[in-house]
Amino acid sequence: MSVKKTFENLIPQVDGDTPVTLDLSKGELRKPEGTQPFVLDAWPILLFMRGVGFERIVFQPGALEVIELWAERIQRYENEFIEDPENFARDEYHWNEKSIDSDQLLIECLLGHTRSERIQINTASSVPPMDAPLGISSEATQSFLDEIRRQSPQEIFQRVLSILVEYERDARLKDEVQWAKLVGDIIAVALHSHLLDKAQRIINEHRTHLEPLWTDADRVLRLLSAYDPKPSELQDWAQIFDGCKTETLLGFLETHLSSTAGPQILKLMNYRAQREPDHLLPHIRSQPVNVQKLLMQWLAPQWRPKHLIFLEGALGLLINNNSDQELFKVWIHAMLRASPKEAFESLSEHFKSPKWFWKKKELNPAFQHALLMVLSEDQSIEVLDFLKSIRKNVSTDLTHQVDKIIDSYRKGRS
Amino acid sequence: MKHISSIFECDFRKFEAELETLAKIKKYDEYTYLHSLNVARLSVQLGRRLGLVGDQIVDLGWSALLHDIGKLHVPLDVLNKMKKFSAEELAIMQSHPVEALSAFAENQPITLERLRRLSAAFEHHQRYDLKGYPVVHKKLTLHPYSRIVSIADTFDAMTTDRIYQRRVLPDVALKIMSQGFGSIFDPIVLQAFITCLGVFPVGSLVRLSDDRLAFVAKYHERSHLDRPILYLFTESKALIDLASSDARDLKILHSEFPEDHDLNANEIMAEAQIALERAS
Repeated sequence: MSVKKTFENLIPQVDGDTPVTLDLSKGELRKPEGTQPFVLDAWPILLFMRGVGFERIVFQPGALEVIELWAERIQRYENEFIEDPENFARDEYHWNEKSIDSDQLLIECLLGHTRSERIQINTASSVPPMDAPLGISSEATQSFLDEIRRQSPQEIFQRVLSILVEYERDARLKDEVQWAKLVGDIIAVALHSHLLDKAQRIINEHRTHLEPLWTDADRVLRLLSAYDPKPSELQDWAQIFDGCKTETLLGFLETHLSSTAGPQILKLMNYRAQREPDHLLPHIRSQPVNVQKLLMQWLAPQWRPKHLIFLEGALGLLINNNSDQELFKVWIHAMLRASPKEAFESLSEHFKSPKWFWKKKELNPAFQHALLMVLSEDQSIEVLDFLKSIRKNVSTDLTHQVDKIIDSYRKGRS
Repeated sequence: MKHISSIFECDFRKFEAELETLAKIKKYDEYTYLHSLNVARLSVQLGRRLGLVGDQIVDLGWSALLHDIGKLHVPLDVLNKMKKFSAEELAIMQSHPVEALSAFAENQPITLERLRRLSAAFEHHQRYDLKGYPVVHKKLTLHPYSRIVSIADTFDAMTTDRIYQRRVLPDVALKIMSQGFGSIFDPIVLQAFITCLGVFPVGSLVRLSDDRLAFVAKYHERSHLDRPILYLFTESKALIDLASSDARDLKILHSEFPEDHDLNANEIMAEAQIALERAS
């Protein structure tokens, strides 16, 4: 109801030479010539004033000039009160109204005198029952119930995304670490609910502030275990974890392969090996043997000539400190895939005694044996030539093995 | 737990995180805790009248119990301030819906079910027309539970005494709230709320047209909303059904505060309950 409409009936009453008092508690309009009842319900803002504790309003002669201004302000207060009654501090608001031209009070709002200001904190038992008729149609009720049933995880996430946007906007609210973990939890829930697109959206919208999330191992594992992507989803899913450092995932390879996150850890590492093989290179040598083997297996299709120097260096260090033949094999395979011709040249050095006595080099028999095992799997001309070139340099123990491979090749050819 | 059990039944083993959060609220601010219980009671009652059952009632109940958990992150000196907020304090106070999610997630992982129950915590100040707070990036329809909780929240806040301000009488509160039909509140839900409670909710002290005072004792399904069963607590200690032909000339004029007449409302309503049981 508009302010003007609200006061259509009241204005004639106050438009006089004598003060008019509205008694809000008794519902009476008092003038010097007499008292008449008025229905408070017809004036919402007066009802509101009664509600917040005013007992009487006195309109002095001349109040008409300010009544609309006053009523508009009271209506604003009413809206504030309805929106947030808990934080409405009545005594801090401006209720009276003075003349525009002077300090004369034209509208005076008087509080009631309570017998005591006892605080009666309502307990749960003081809530009134709701036994009266419902008052709405069955169609309206059914529509409401149907709306509840239609609430889907997508809609829940839409609301959550709104919360995150507002939260991020208010920097004052944000504990960076807490916020990142919160976002991580929400992403995990999205993934658990098979809402990959929602998870992606959350990551894309909040990526720049999620660094603390990726240092929280428990949360990262929760994210990994939340969803097992199909092959067609792998790229989208893997991008969610772009902020997770490779070192973290490598650690999980060692410790959590048998957990519910295990399959996803493997998928993600394999994906990274295919997409960004060079980023894995610095990490390989420092990994435990089982992890090394896994990484080398994933990287197998990725070796190129440019990697040969790295592989040679890594293999050289490995030979000096290891005797695991299976481990040697994966590195040898890698070299041969990277650049076969150069690899053979490099590998042949491992069968030559040093030219100069001060360049004494330990020849590693286990490595030599492993190399020959690898070569025995590949019966190519290049291998045959290699074996012939090293035959004169191999020790007596290995001569038989070399000959066997050469014979096998010849039989295969014939 | 017994407070919650009196409102709705649930397997508390599934809600340990929620119980823990509620305990934190109780420890942090007693008023917020009691208010949350009241809002839950009102919300669940209304939910049942609207036809919600089973898990829907449980979800609604927890939504209402946790609607103010964001206040755990509002400093107590702001939370309990008796004067008007400064701009900064208002911003802090109005941040509690947004804080709800992080307040809940601090000690337990978020799940989809918990996110569903937290909708009301975020939305209960947004208004039906979405002109409230926090301002949202993308407009969407408020969750049905949020629409129930916001009404219950407003009613309880209005009808609860504060240290610095007396409560609003329930019938007056309902009339004030009706100004928010379709703007602040869902019109269907508000209509149901107002009519289910009756023009003068049970427990109201009312002045009759013959100048006697009485307490509203009961409404029944066929009651007219302003013609409840009254309890005359003076000498006669009798019940009057305003819907009956005997009382057709009797009207309720307005409500009053029991304490202004030195009346103990709880005691008198207990008498009224006994009288009702005898009469039925």
